Amino acid sequence: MKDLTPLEQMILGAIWSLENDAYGVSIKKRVADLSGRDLMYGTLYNVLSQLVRKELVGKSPGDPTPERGGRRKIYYRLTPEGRRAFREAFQVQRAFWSRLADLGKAVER
Amino acid sequence: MTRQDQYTPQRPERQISPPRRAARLLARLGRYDEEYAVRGDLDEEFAERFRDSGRRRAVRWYRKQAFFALASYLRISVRSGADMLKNFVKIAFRNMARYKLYSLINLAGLAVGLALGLFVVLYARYELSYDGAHDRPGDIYRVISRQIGNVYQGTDWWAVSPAVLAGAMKSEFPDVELACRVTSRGGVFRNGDKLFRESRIFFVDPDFLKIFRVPILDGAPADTLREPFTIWLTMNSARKYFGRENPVGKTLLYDNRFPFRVAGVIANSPEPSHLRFDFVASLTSMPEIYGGEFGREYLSRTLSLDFTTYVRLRQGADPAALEGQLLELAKRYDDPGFRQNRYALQPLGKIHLFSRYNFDLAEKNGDIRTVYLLSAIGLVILLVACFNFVNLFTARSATRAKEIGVRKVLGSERRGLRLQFFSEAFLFTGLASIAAVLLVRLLLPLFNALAGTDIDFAMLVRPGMLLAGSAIILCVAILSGAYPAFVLSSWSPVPILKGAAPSGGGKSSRLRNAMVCAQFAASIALLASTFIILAQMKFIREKDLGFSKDQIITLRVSEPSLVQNAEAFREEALKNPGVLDLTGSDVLPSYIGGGGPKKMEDNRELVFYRARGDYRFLDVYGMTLAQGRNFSPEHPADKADSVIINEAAVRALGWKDPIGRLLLTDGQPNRARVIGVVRDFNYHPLNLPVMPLWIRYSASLNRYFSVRISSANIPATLKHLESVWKKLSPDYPFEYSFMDERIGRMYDAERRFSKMFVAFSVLATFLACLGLVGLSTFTAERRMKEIGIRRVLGASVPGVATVLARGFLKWVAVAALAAFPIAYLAGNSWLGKFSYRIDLGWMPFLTALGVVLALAFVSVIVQSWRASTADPVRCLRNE
Repeated sequence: MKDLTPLEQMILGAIWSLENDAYGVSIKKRVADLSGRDLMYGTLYNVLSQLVRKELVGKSPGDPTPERGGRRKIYYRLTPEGRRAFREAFQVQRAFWSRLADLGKAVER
Repeated sequence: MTRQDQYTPQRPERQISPPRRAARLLARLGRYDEEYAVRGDLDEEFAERFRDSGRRRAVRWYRKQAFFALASYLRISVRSGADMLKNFVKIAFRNMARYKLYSLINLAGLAVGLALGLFVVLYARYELSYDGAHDRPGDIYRVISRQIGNVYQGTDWWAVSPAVLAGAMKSEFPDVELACRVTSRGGVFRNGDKLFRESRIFFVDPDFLKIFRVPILDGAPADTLREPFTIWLTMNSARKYFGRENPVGKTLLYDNRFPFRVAGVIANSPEPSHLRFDFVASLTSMPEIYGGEFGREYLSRTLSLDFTTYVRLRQGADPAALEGQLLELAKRYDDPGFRQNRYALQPLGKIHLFSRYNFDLAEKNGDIRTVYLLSAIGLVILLVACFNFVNLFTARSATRAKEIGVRKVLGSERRGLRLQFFSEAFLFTGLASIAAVLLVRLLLPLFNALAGTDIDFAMLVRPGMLLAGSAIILCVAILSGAYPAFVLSSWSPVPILKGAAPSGGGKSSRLRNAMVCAQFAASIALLASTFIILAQMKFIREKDLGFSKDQIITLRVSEPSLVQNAEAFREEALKNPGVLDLTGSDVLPSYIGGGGPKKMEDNRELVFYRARGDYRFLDVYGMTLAQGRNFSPEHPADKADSVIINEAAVRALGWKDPIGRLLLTDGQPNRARVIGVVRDFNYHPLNLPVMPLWIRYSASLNRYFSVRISSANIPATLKHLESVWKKLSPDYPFEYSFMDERIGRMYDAERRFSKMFVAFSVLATFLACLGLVGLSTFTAERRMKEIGIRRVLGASVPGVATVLARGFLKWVAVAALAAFPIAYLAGNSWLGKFSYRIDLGWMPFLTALGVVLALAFVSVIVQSWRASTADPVRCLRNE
């Protein structure tokens, strides 16, 4: 499987952490909270469409809500595949950082 | 800003609403908006930002987001579009493989049509590119003159101008940078034992090489052309006379008398150009070559028909102003002929296609009308091919109703279907155009031979051509994709999937029939015109010219002793039984020239064409006398003042009894007494009428021998003539031509045109039939059930086939009605060029109709037959 880009990882993480409340606005905010990066919506949709194509993320329309001017939300969930990919990426990274630390080259803040 | 601080009424919804234009833009994005809830997300955060940081910032934020959303929309749609395209291409290829005949017909038809379109464009470009290879071609002009009253071969415009003009223009008009005179003269060149007659020898002023920027390959600078008896050889002639030797500094003997020093070697004459030369010699040699008083005055005469004048103007000079000055200049000369003439500057680029002037240096000029006509025909055929393509494409897509239905049910949108049909059309046209380019590559030599052109395949790979080519392909693809894309995609899927026949009847079949009709109209019109052209060409070949052209050999005589007296040669020649008779004359009856208007006895001015021949001239050519007698040794006066005129002359003079009357009055050294009237014979091409002619007796101006031979053992006769020639004219090469071939060559342009026309109309008909085959297959398939029922109820196979064919034949008949008037008008206007022409009867039209009907019938019947012989049980079982 192709590696995930950092942005994809972040967004997967945001969706994962949001559980059942992951939709455009909430994902964007969670990414901002977690990484301090304020994404463009256009960028977000690009990455989401990519993730959907790779079948890491599934999407389903919600019911229209009044606070959005009567427009519906699109909710995103991780597919089992996506969950595994995210976990794998996490493990790879953790291993990477700890091995780097084992070499005595821990990245100080 | 000020407005916000001021009081505004409370209208919260409007206030919180995002900037309208950005929102509208997003709304346009449609599916993207829906799929990602773009506006929902943006609105939600916008409302938040509005509360937190105020309207202005929120609005700016929204706009920025909208802009980036647009960018992401484009990225996403391109990506998904690529996926879609992949699928479309796959489906298209599967369809192609499944309907092989359809696809082949479709591709072949379009490829042939496109190839033809390319040929026509190449041809037009070639014709228009004449003389474009020179340096600053836009500044080069030819001086043409109108000699009012001196109508010769249908026009009083001449491509020649007085000898003094070039020098005067260059010295008096600052706008004229370079000027030169050119005269072309045939002759014999000799280097040792290499002896050839040459016709493309240009005698020029030194500026010639500069004006036309002829590349110098070897030798002294171009100025050497000032000196008499210098000559430049083209690469070809250098090789011809000197082989591998370097010719520079060597001599070449002209007409066995004048040694020319080779100053250098130049490139072969540029192609395509109206100037075609093998030798460029100094004009200053002319006085000595002609000799005597004529020679001395040759280069300073005011009235002469020998020189073509070319000038190159300073950049930005106004040719119209110069023309005015030219008239002023002419008035200063004493010569009345010079003064009365009108002069004009003809741009170099127009010479090839736009001149019909007398004494043109070009052997054969083109005609812009031919270019237009062939382009139009090419366009029509291209259109026919496109119609075909559209027709077949439409017809075939109708059989794909189920695919469309399934696609629709599975959620394909009209847009997607449209895209599918368009991309399929593009795929087909793309494949067809590749095939077309290959066809052009393959058939180019054939086309060049047919059209008499020298087109290089590399011409196709120029930016302009590529652009034009892709424009054509784009148009064809859009044209053919449009109908299925817009109509078929609108069908409702439910009835289609239930098995009902798609609603492709009604309007679309009318459209199809109209297109078939147009195709057949085009091919009937082309075929009818072709038959008219062929009939006229046959007429030209077979017309009795008034003299016999068969079994006559002509020899060009240069040996001075033979020019003076033919008797020795005649005696020797007649020793072979194959030689029946021989005559010497200064012209050949295939082409007789004339001199300006002459004053007749009654003071009228008439243009007479003039020939001189010996006693046997009329007999050898089988010309007959209407009145009077032939020249005869019994009448010594014949050598002095007798003339024979033709019937046209009698008509022009209005004389009742011409025999014995005097023709000329003033200034003639020997007046002309009419002793006979020869029946009119065509001494010009048949597009010109027979003009007044006089024939004088002369036995000492034999520029030609005409030998009547028997048809038995012609090679032996030729061998004999050659041996006599070698004995009596050893310094000149033996070159002969047959009279009938010589006459045939006068119609080269017409013959080429007719051949191209035949090829084009055969192609158009072929394409129309291809279309019909495809279409009738489709119809037969669609009417399978009807055919099945008819068969079950006892209809015979031919009966059913006829039923199917009838529909098409009706349209062919309608097409004929539209085509006949067009062909009639076109044929009539083409025939208008000829003074001697066929009458337009019904034959060409009926033949064309018959041919098309027969072909249409065959192509329909074959398909219908197959459909009607199919087992009816199989067709009906599905119910």
